Amino acid sequence: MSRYRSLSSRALAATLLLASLGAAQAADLKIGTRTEPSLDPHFLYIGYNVGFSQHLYDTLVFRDASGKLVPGLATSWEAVEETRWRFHLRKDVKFHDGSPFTADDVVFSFDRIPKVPNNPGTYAGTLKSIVKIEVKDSHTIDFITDSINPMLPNQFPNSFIISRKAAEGKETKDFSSGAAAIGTGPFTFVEYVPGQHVKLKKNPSYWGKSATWDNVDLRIIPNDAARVAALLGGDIDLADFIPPNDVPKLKERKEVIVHTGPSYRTIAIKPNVGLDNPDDVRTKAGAPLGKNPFKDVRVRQALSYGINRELMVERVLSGLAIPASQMVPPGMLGYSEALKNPPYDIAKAKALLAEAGYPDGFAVKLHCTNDRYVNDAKVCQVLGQMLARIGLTPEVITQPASVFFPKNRAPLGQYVLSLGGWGSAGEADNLWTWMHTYDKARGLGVFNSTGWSDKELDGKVAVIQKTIDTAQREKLEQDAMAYAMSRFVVLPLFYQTVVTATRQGFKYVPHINEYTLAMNASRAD
Amino acid sequence: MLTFIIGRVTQALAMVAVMSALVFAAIFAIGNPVDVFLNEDMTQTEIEAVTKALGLDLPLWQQYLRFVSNIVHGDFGSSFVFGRSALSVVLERLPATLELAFAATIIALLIGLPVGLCVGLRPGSRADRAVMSVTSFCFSVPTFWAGLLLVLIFSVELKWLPTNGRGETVDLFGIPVSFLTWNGLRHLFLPAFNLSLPLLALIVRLTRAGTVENMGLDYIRFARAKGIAEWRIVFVHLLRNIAIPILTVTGLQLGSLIAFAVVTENVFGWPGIGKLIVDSIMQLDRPVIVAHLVMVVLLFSFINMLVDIAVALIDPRVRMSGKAK
Repeated sequence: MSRYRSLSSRALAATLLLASLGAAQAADLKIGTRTEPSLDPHFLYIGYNVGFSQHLYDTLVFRDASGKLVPGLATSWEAVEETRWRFHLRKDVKFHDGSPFTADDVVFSFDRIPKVPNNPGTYAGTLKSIVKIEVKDSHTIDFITDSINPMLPNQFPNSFIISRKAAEGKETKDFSSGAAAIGTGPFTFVEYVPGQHVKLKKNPSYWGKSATWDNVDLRIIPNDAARVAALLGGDIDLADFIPPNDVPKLKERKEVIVHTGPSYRTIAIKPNVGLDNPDDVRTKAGAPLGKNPFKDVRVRQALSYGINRELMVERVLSGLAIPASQMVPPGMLGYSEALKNPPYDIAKAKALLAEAGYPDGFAVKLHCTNDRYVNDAKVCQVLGQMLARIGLTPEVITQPASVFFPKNRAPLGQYVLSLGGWGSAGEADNLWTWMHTYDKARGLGVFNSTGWSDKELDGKVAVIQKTIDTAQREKLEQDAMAYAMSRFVVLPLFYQTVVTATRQGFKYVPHINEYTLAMNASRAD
Repeated sequence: MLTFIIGRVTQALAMVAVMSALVFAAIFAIGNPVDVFLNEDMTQTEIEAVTKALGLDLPLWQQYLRFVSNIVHGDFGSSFVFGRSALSVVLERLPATLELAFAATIIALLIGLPVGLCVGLRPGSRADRAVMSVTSFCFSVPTFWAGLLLVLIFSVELKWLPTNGRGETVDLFGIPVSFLTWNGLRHLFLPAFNLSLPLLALIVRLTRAGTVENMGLDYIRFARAKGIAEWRIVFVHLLRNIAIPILTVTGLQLGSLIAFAVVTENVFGWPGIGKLIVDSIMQLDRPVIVAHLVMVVLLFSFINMLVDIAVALIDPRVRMSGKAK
């Protein structure tokens, strides 16, 4: 009996040892992810898809963790004339099917991007300034722009390069089946089962830094509670988009680690100054007010004084956000340390309202999404309470993004006061997307739903857009942002953070753009 | 019989027509799906170009006519989110939902019938009272909560079963199914059980009520007087008589299980059409929403028709003819 027991325990030990060896050899990563990715890197431009595409495909220019541009499939680039950019392509790069990467694939990819049919979220916007592409030789390519465009390289980190040989004449569905999903990226396609998972394998001949994982299993679990449960149950190694309210509980559990990092997204209140007699604003008795109080800078300033950003971050977001003072997060071009929020001061807010002619406040509807940003509905309720404390009578209305956005778009939204979020692409681009006068022809103020129009600010933006020198650009952006914030064009609330959780024994560096990347995960040794 | 089937098919088609028009108008009223996917690099020019390319700039009636004429050609349009045929997006997820719904029905019948019979034969006993309270509980607990609880107990704490997903699938006649592999079965059990709870409670109660009612009836007494064995009375005479309401309810419920597995599928990350419809509504993916609902209406009608036929076969009192209604 005792011999039998010792034998069996030895056998067990041996099995365990083998199992652990096996685990150590095949480095597998199982990710539980919120969103179903598009395998076609030119279909449906949302942040999540941009992150996913980086596993399979490369771009000419990469943006590193701090937002700086670094060489990708292009090794260097220069503006040879005012409207001509020359890119030198990396040699000896091979697609997953073994065919070589050449300038012709760039031409094919850029040509396909605006032509993907039935695409509600096109990537074409980044390439709109290019009027002509000239191939100089197999690894040199020129882009001719319609006017001087110093930002062209900045617009490339989302334009993925696919193979002409594999994808010519193919549709989005051929990418889903894997037939056309041939890139040059660090991982290759293995399998995609819609609604279930995407399986990827390491690309052994990747030109860049080799992937740490042999196999990646990306499981699609949109429900937050289910994703967290899958992590706790050990079915996955990593879960993205952890709801802040789960974080305190998760931190208590030994088997998981919570990783947080800053996000590119700034959440703000948008006062609409374009509406003349908005229905959303009334006297406290319910009669129409007859004018739009937010046209008065003192009213917008009063709101800013009346919002306790620190309290909001601590209570509503479990401390997982950073109070914001401007429309670009720290670490990105154009962020200014010097810019500060007005301090939280109810008395001052009330005084400003009285000065503007509203000693008794007024009733106002505050519209927010309830499924777009982290805890947006709760943020909205708390905002409502804060506005009530400075003497307004707010009515909080939260809606799904699919209802909210069609009603609150440029050139003039229907909501007089709304919550919005902006993800900066490496610099203070909010200046020309939200705050510049709406200008359809020039593609400025594209998301300006508040009707803001300010010649001085527009002038500052015009100078920025003609400036190539980074240091100079930074100064100009800081100056323009300081001006916009002094006019309270929008009221920044906080910068989101990216919260990802892994099992014990894994490391993860959250990406500022909220991408979920297998490349950023590693074993903790 | 043929008249009956033709009548049912016509009804189903009329329902599809009305439903699709309603859904179409409702989504049109919410807004332009392009707005949901706006990105920082899109200018008004691109937004308009995309809206036009998707045919979303046309007036409602033109969009609907275009849609109907496409459907007649078997084309539900291309999904805004997946960029592939909406019908194939729905169809490729249908097997998962069907498997889940059938598994739930089988669990409900396997547990519900014997339990209902047992307690129905001993009404008022302690077991009877216990079963009755448990079934009330199964009815009243929200599926969502019960599902999370099952995951917490059996997956997170005990780690007996996986938390979500479909596990390994093997192809059966070209359709991927989970129930043929051990790994797949382990994935299937919790969601199927979760989905079966209300139906299970319903079947227990129906079986019990039928048993209690029928055991006092003359034909049972007569059978007893004839000296027929008790097991034969229960399994042949009784079961056949109480089967009709149970079968009808199970059949009708199967339709609901397929259509409304939404909650369970979301909690357990089960890749079926329920999970798909939630995501599609959030993203205003109209082609998928319409294709999904058309599919559900057709399935629903088809199952109801099968149930009616089955009932007629079991119960000779029910005759199917044009004048039955």
